[in-house]
Parts: sequence; structure tokens; C-alpha cells
Amino acid sequence: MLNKSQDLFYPTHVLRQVEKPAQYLGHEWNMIDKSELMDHRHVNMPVIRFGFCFPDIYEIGMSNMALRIIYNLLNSRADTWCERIFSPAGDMRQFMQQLDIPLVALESKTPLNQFDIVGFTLQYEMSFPTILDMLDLGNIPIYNSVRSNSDPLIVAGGPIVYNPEPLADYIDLFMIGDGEELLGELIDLYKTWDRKYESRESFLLRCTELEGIYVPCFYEPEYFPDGKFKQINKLHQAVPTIIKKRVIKDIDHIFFPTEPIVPNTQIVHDRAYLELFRGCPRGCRFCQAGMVYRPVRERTVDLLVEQAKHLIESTGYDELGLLSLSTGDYSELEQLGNRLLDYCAERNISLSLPSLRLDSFSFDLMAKAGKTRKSGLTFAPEAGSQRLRDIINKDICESDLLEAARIAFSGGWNRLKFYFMLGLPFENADDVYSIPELAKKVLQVYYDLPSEQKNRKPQLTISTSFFIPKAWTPFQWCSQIDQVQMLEKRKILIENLRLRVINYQWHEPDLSVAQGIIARGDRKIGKVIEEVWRNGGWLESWNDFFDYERWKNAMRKYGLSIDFYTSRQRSSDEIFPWDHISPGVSKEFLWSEYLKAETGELTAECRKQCHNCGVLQFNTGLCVSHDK
Amino acid sequence: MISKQKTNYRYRLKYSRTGVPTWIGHLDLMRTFQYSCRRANLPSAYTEGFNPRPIMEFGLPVGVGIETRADPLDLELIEKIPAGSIMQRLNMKLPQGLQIEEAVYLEHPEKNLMSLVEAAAYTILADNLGAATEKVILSNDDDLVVERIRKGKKRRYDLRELIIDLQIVASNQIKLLCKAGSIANLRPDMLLKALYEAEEITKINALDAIIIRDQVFLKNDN
Repeated sequence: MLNKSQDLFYPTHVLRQVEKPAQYLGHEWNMIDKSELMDHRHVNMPVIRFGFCFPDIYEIGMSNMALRIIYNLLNSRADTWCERIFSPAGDMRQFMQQLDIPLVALESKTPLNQFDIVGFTLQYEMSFPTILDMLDLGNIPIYNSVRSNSDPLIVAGGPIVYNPEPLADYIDLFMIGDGEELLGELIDLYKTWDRKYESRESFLLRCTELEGIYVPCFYEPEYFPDGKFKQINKLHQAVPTIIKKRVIKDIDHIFFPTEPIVPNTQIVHDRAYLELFRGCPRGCRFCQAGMVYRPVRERTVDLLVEQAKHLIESTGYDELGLLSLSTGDYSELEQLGNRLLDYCAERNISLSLPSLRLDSFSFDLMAKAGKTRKSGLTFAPEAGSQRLRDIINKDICESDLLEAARIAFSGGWNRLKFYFMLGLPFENADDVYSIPELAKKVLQVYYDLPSEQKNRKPQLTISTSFFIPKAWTPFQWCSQIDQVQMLEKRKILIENLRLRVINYQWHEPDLSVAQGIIARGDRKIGKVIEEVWRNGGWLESWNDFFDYERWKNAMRKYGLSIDFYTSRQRSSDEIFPWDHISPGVSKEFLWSEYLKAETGELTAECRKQCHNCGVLQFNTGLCVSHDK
Repeated sequence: MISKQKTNYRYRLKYSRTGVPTWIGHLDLMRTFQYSCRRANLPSAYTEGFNPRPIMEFGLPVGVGIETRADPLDLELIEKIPAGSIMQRLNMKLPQGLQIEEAVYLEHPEKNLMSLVEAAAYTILADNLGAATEKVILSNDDDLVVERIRKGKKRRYDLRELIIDLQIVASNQIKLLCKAGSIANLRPDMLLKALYEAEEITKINALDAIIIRDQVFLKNDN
């Protein structure tokens, strides 16, 4: 009876002293264990060890869809074992450093440096210092230039890979676009690399033959004396001049994980997820995802319902989420919603619907979905005034919004949350004041209801983030406001939202500036990220750990101006450090969208009209069906 | 909120936990059992209210880092199925380290399993534990009081009042029988604390201890 059970790797006294120790131990339901394959590992049947790294802690990373997809996708290959690696939290990190415990994968507790390929997912800029920290904790040299043939291949991809330059000194190769097919091709190619006879450089050069792969060490940036980017110079003739993203054409036949891991501990998004479609038809001008994930590719209803059943059976989850950039735009939402609801109702499963269209149908659906749970509804008008919403091409009008609020209040939803951005291009003082005004109009809607329709008291949450211009958007030329302006705008909201029924939440100005530096950073910013990390910034995406002084000092050390990267308005002919990484949309299209923003001209969504953004070249999805 | 409209069928299970699940807290353990019951497709009775959940009652919460061998857990189903089949179906769907060891149908179901708990038996392993136990606890009658901060309040526990029986099995192993439940409860880490506060074992040894709850005794058990 006194079996010491499985080897947990970490000393018991460490597990007794850290928060949520199970996050380091793996062995959750649906975890994939291929350790038996390892025992029989021999020359004829090599098993590729892939370490999927999420540069944040477990409860964040495990909620991420990319992790769920890639983990199960790679493990569906007989010749590959994909394992998970997360950043430790502060307490565990301290023990690891004290006791010389390396960063290991949850599955086999194999140290990071013993993997064949180590892949990082790039989800948000502030996780970049964490990437360096994880490499270091895993005993892998952080610079790609000093890694030898015995070090793993370090790869990265994800939604913000479209400006990879800040990580160019650290990552061996970037994978641009949808990863489902490209990852498989990379592993096939990797298997042809005989590390005994072929140099790392020679292998990396062969990798550039795969479309969608960017190997930064074969390119060298050139700058003007004033620091602006001049051009990227190829150091090798054979490498592509423009790296074009990969696009999954047939989304119905591509792998989707219906047996995701069910953590033993609660995570941030603790539910099963369906991905209805990839891409977004809307074209909001601030939104990077909306530009780089084009074109819209929908899954069919039949497939989604099948996947939902399989997901619920395999996980036991009691909540099903629908994931897409704008779920309400799914073309068969009514049919899908009704079929899923029938399935869920019988099984005590709740269907959670994120930001839907603001029409009555959506509310009917929500009314059915939330029979029991009417906790909160979220809207993202992004700007308070119609003028500014037109500028950013957010196609929502105030009357729709107030009507939605009316249906929500009378239907028993009392908690509404509204997302806005402060510091959008062309924003003036009136636009800022219009946010509290809109909030008050929403409240008035409640007070105007006939008393029999008034349910519980309303609770409004107004949440603002500061706009950060992103690469490959129509606002990539724009100035980002500085902290002084941020604080002024925030003050206006604080003063005008002092009502008991309104809860105002905001993002930190300093953090938004640091994020802005990376978002449009060049290769020089890589040094800054490293300096921040060397000075103790290893989990900078967390308010509790973030320290702006470190960023200021690092920028100063390398003689770089923060304003140059953030608040400087770029001219129309500026060459960007990310121009050679192509998501398909053309720079010309983005510039034309910028000009339309200036005059507040709307661009209709893709289903109504094609605007020749450039992604037609992929010949798939909405672009093709639109053509017909 | 427990449904009373229909007759539910109540089963008493005994579960063990070793390995990874030893390191999750009570709420996560409940959550894991709930998902497992759903995966096993058991005809669970559900709670009413905003978030219907399978009706499930644990005898005694188990702290992070304590293994169990036969902790009681009651389930309610809306269909009567053989107890053995519940055990079999659940065991196929529980994560590694959790296992149902026993399942019986309760002819005379009593609600509130927690209030039935009276005592618990533990095996504790740690370096020098035998000698330290002998010296600090068994060979003298000194007060054995441990302070613990709970919900911001300092509370004092007289361990001697809570220990029913204590035996040294080996130089590094003891067996403890103690009061347990909602009225009086001894947490084995308090006993370890008393030993390292008396400087008879090191704090690291105490933190490295393996703690196993062998049994939970209910009223009417012997």
C-alpha cells in the first residue's frame, strides 16, 4: 500500500510550498503519453520530440485554442510526440533556480533542451520576455546564432507572427499563417536532417523552401541614419524575398481537436470549444486578427454538431463555447444554434455565446442558451461616437446598441459589459466624452422600461483599453498616444462614470506603451526585450510583474526613443520592418483603408462586396464563394 | 439545492488518490469527479439552480498533498444500476491516480455524509518520524498545542485531544488514528508541525512527508 506511485519529478517539499502544484504535473484526462514509443526508439523509426511552449503559466496556456489544436494535431502523427511546456509561476521558478531544476515538459518531464523541436506560440507581445526566460530555464542558448547542432530547433508561429522582427535574434524559424499543414511539412523535412553530417545553417536554408517559413538569420535589416527602416537584405540568394502566409483551404477536412486535455485544476477558459470559422468578414481597421486571418473559411453545420458531440463525450465538460473572431457572422448560426441547443439542453450543458450580432435573433438564441444562466452579456462597440465608429469601420449604430440593451434588460440580463478603446486615430475630446454618455443612455433604457419588465438592477461594466497600432492593419501608420494623453482620457472617464451601477475598468498606460514598442518594433527591439528580461522581467504580461522602468532603462541603454516606435506618425512611403512578411492583404489596400478612415468612409463587409484586399490569391473561402 | 421531486438512488463509493491528483485541492477534486461522471455517462441526478451539477457528496475534504485509500463519496443517480457497474464505468473515465475501490447501493440512504464522519486513519512517512513521535508525543504528557491561522484567525489545537491512537511502525513511519469531521478534526500536517517545532525533525523532512489517509470512519462503522 505504500507505493510511492508515479514519479512526480519535483521534490515533495517543493510541491507542498507552491501554489496549485498540479499545474506542473501533467497526467490530466486526454493527455497523450507516448513514453512507450520512447522505449523502442531506434534508428529505423525515429520519434520526433516536439515541445510546444506557451509563454505564460498553465491556466492561461491551457485555455488557448492554438495549443489544443497543435497538441492533438502533432500527436495524431505516429512519428511525433508533442508535449507541453509552460512558464512556471514565481514561486516554482524560485525553487527551480535554487535547486537547479530545469524547465521540463508536463508529459515526460523531459528538459526543454532535449527536444528535437521547440515551438513557441506568439499570442501577445508582452509574452516575448517570457520566451527568453523559458529558453534559459530550459538550458537552451537564447541566441539563434550560438546554438549548435545539439540544441533543439526553435520555431515560433501564431497570430502576432506578422511582425517577427523583435524576436529575429532568438527564434530559428518563424511559421507564417495557418500551422496545420506547414507543421507537418516541417516535421517531414526535419526527419531528413542528419545532425551528424549537415550543419544547422544548411538545414535552415532547406527549410526556407517551404512556403510560409521565415528564417531570420538569412536576412539583415538596413536602417536610415535617422533610425527608420530602409530595407531587408537577403544574405542568401535562395531565400524568398517575400514570405507569404500559409492558408488552410479546406477547413472542413483539416484536423480539429475533439479530445482536448481536461485539466485537473480549473483554468481560465474551462470549457470545450468549437471553431466555427477562421477569418473575419468585418474589416475593423484597428484589428490585426481581422486582417491577417483572411479569408473567411466556415465549417459546415453538420461537421460542427458532430465535433460538439465528440467534444462533450470525450471531456465531460458542462459548457460549450463557440470560438471565432465574430461568431454572430457565422452564416448558418440559427441552424447551428438550434441544433446545438437541442443537444445541450438534454445534457445540462450550457452554451456560451460570445459577442453576437445585435439583432433579435441573437437574443432568441441567447434566451434559449441561457435558460438558467443570465450572468452577463458583452458588447464591443469599441468607440463611443458614431463618427469614430465609422472611422474604425465598426459597423454598429447607436440605435442598434440601445435596442440590444433594451432586449437584454427586459429579458433578464442585468449585467452588461462594454468594451471601448481610447486613443484611436482621429479621436477628439467629444469622442471620449461620448463613452460615458453612451453608458448613461444604456442605463436610461433600463429606467424607461415598463416596471413589469424591469428585472434586477442593472450593472454596467465599461472597460477601456488603449489603442495600440498593429502591423498589417490600416492603422499601422498611426501615432499611438503617450501616457500623458492616456491618463487625461482615462480621467475623463473616471470622472464621468462615477455611478454606483457602473464599474469602470481600464488597462495600464505603461503596459500599453511597452506593448506598442514591440508591436511595431524592428530587430533592434530584440535587444530591449532581452535587457528587460535580464533585469528581472520574465512575466511582463502580468500587471503584478510588469515594471515600466525596466523598459525605459532598456530603451535608453540602446539609445532608442520610445516615441519613435509608438507616437510617431509614419509617412505613406515608410518601409516597415515587417513588409517582407505577407499575410496576403496588400499594403496598398491597407493604405486605402487608412485614407477612408480619415474621411470616416465605411468599407462594407466581405460578403457584401469585394474590396480587392489581396487575399483572393489564396483562392478559397468567402473570396471564392463571393466570386460565384 | 438538492432535487426532491424524484426518488434518487444513492450510492456510497470509496475512492483512492495517488500520484498527480494528490496535488489538487478539494474544489478541483469535486470538479474532476463531476467531469468524470459525465464522461462515464452515469444517469446522475443533478442539482437545481443556475449551474446544474451531478449530485455528489464527499465525506471529508482532503488537503492538497494527502493521498487517500478509501475515502467515502456519495453519488445520486436517477436510475438504479448495479453498484459494480458504476465503479467500472467511472474507473474507465477517471484521470490517472484516481480510482473507485468500492461501491455499494444504500438501501437506507442518509443525506449529509459529512456529518457521519467521526475519525480517520493515516499513515505518515518521514525521516526520523518514529523517534521524534516517541520523544515528543508518546513518552511524555506535555501539552501538545499547535497554532494555525484559519480565515485570518489564530486557532489553537490541542493535539492530544484529537489523537485517538498513535503507533510507530518503523523508524520513518507512524500510523495515526484521530478525530475527523466537522466537529473535531486533526490535520496530519499539524502533527508534523508539532514535531518540527520541537526540533525533532527538520522542516524539510516534514514537508517531504508522505501522508496517506487509509480510512475514514463513519458513525455506525466500528
